[in-house]
Amino acid sequence: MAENQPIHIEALNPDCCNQWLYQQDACLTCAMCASVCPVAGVDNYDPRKMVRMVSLGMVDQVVQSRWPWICTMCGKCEQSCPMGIDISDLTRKIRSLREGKHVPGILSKGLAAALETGNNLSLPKEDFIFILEDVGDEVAEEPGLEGFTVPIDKKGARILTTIHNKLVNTHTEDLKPWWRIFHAAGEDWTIASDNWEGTTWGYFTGDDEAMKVMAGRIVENMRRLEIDTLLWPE
Amino acid sequence: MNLNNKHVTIIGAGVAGLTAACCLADWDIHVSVLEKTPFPGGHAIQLTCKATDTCVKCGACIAEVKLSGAIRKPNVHIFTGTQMESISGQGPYRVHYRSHSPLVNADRCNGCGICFKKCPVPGTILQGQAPRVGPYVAIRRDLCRYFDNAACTLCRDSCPQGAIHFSNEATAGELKADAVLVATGFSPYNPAAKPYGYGLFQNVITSLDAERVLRDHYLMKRPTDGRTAQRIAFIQCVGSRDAKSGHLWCSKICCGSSLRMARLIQSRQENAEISFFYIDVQTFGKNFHSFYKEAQENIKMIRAIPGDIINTKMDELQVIYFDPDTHSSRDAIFDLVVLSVGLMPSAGNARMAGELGWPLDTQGFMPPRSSPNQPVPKGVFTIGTATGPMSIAESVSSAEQTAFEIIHFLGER
Amino acid sequence: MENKAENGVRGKESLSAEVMIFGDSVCAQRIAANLVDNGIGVCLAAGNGSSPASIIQDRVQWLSDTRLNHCHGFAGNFTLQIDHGHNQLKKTVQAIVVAEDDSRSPNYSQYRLTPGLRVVGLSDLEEKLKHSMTESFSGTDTRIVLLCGWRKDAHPSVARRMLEGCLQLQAQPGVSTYFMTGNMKVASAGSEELVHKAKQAGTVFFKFTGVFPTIQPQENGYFTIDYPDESTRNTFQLTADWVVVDETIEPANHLELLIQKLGIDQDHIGFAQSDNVRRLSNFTNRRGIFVAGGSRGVLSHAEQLADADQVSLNVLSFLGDLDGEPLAGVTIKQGLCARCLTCVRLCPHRAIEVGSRITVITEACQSCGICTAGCPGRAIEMEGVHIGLETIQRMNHLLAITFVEKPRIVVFGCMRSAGQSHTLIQVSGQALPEGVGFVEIPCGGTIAGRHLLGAFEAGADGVMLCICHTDNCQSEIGNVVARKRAESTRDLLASAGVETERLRIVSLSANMGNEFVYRIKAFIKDIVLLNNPQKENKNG
Repeated sequence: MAENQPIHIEALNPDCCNQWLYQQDACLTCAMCASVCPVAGVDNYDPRKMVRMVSLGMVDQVVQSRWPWICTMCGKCEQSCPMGIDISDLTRKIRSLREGKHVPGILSKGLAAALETGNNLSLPKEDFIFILEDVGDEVAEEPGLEGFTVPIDKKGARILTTIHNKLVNTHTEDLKPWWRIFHAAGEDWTIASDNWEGTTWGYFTGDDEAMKVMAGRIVENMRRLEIDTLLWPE
Repeated sequence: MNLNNKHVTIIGAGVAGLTAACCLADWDIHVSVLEKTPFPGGHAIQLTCKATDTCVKCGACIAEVKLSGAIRKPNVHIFTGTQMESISGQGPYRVHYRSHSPLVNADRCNGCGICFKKCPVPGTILQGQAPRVGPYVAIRRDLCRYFDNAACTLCRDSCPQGAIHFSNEATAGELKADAVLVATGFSPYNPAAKPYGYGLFQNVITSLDAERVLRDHYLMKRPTDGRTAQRIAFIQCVGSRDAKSGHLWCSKICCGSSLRMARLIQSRQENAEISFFYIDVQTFGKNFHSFYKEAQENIKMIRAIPGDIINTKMDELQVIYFDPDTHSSRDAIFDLVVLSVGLMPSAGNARMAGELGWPLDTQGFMPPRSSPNQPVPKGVFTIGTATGPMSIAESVSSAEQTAFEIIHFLGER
Repeated sequence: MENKAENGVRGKESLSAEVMIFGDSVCAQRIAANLVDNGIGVCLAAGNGSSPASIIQDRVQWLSDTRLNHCHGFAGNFTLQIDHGHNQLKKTVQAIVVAEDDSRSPNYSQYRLTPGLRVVGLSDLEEKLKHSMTESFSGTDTRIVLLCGWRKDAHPSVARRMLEGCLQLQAQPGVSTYFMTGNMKVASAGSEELVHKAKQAGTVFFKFTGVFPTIQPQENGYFTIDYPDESTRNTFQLTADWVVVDETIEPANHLELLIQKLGIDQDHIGFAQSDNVRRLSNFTNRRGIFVAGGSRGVLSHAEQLADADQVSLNVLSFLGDLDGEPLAGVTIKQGLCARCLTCVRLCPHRAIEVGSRITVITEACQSCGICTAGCPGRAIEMEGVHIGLETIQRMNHLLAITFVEKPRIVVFGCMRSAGQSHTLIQVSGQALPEGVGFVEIPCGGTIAGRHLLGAFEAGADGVMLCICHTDNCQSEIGNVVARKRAESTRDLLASAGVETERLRIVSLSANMGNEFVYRIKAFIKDIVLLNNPQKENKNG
């Protein structure tokens, strides 16, 4: 967006977001949010700028810009803000205001796939189980881990854990440390064969409905497998 | 009418309490000042003079003057190591207090400093900063290992004067008070919760720590290695203007004290490079405009509050901040970082207010009588930073003004 | 006028004392009420056309349309000659309080504006708001811009009033307010909450650092304001229906004359109190003359009222102490006095009276000794100060036999600063470095060149003169004259072939024991360096 064209303040409606409960108007412009932000300066983005633009009534400009999508949603800005502005929630709200088809590709495709197939990779159930068992076999070959198996869909286990998609895709090695710990601790745990993905694609796109669906599926898994405790390493 | 049969109890021997004591004593009133710490003078007595060659009106010397004045008055009695326990009556009141006998015998101690070197817990043995009322050296019971499980007696055993005597003795006492004056001061904000590594990195210190370093060592020495710090950062509003922590107020004095300290350091250390991270610079003193202009010319003024501090392998401090000029993340290396910590309501305010029936304001301070608030008990008054952030000069004003009210009140009775 | 109040608090004998108050400000009137309540007779010199508030009506002597012509006398006995209309009044009072209102002017030029229909100063705005004349501001889509502290920071009390005005305007139907400031001043109690409230009410804030908006008046009377916003990096343009500018608070115009006639010091702005912590809270360089409210600085309304109570206490204490013991006596030996009037010019407390003889007014004298050191005829003596040659010789002799190898250092120090710091060193169990003798003096101004030279004559290797920091002298100029005298003594040393580095001037404060030792040690180090080559010369 052109930053040097004067913006007529009369044309903006600073009251447009009064009903939003993120405290965006309380900003002191202390810049602490921008100071902690790991992506401040990337494409001229910084969280303070976004907060101020919303407060001034420039919501449309923010929604149209790339800035909300540069954010990694790490939440440090919100944590550090002395005025208690809910910057992460505000970012999600802004993201949600963009029409679905304009949501950046990887996020919109990932979300669609996750909603349709239970995981954003659209990985078939058989392939998922094959990968887990294959890695499980490798673990069982390690000294002290003889007899290790991956408990899938184990009813009545103590812990249900979700899986990040890259762990069954490019980073399968990263599954092993978890499992070694479970084994050493004698933990009673399991993985669901359906809707196993923990990544909340709805969270990143600001799509509350989608988030509800995906979280609901995890809850459903816990009900089906009669498990009380969720380990959600996201 | 005569006021020489009147008694006033002042709670807190900081600059406000001592000023009031001096004023009231001039009217022949009997004044008792209860001070919970081992030394009178409060925070102000520990501050450094910030004059270069010219006085910058920080007010640090006033505390000294008021304390010397109060000590000289025969009708002012300062009780150190003494806390108010409760209060009874409807005015005149009876103030019940509890006094711990000092662990160091004032007559024997010669200030040789051996106990400081022997003590295994830093900060347990304190030294006075001012004209004396009682011993010049004191031991903090809350930190001393002897009071934990009688585990340590190193200082007692090594004292060549035999001046240290461990005892848990406390005496209870009672004072008649025609008026009670609360001058309990403030608590400095503890910045451990901020992402600046306070408590982890020794070279991250508070503004009050910095005052003491400058006062004791003349130059800005680093706690870790005693080297003179050349690259120094001041970070403002640490704990102030912080609605999330419930501190929706500006602490008022920090811009003045930090900028004055910065200029003091520059006057003594020619090569000192100082950065000042701020939100808004607040006015201090009549000379503010010219002082501020000079500060802007000599100090790197950065209108942004940093986010993180990392201690590097070289034992330097890497401060990460949003550069308002380039609108991007930057970091800068410093030898020392000073956090300008805010003035918080004193930790004991709630108990004190409850005991006296005094309304606390929304921020937790004890507002002065004149505040349009709910009714307050007769004969009770509040002054100084117990009522909200203020400078030393303002504490003096608040004490003098309230002394007038008290004298008027006592005269009418 | 005598007026004994029933609820007065002062118990002492005849309370017929008269106090003159200059000014009819709220502060002045409250002081008058306080004093009258305590049985003190008050005369109040008011401006033209003003009238007393009911609280003091008929209880004070109210003089309007007055001009001070002359002030003669001293603490406890001032004689004032006052023009009152066409008459001349003579008034004898024991104490004087200056409590004139300040003067307030809108800062048009700071914003490159000229006064106009749609430009409102803060005080005007407050008048309008007070009298509910807000209809001119309301209407559909009215934009009001408040300008506060751009190129020159606004005083916190002004910023606070701007915020209060802003909140009231924002509450008008159809009004949007924009607050444009440099540093947002939030240090007054409750200001941060006010800002927060204004934001919640819909006020939009913009803050600037160094680069400020440009304001263009339009033909239709409106204003176009262009500005870069620092946090969003956008350039904005705003058309304003009204512009409110902040104001500068300065001393009243006629204060200057009053200051001159009363012979009191003023600060660099022109307020009737020097910017010196020793004058806190209401004192002047002259005993018995007090200053309060808008005459001593920029004070908020609440602060002015508090100041009134404070100064009342100080005045009452002063009146109560009038019969007390005077300070150490300073006397002029008439036989030696040449009537050169040096002492009169030097005395910062106006304590020297020129009559058939030149005399020191004990009631006004603060025993600083500036006159004793300055008198070319050495005609002025002060009790209890021993800094003559013999004393120093004795001390140096003692140092010489105690610390044989050490250089001998004589330190002269003001009792209000170095003296206090010296006490601090002693109570903490430390001692001065070996070879150092400390001589406490009432003020840096007590020391003349002859005392410094005397110390050298008595065998000192180095002499250090410790004075208070500039602007921190109890006697206002004691440190300044001390520095001058020491510097000319250095010239004398140089012409006598003595290294000027052997005389050092140091400013110090009352609470800096460690710094005192640090400075002395640094001095000794330099003196040792100077001494060593000398020894070699002597040997050769």
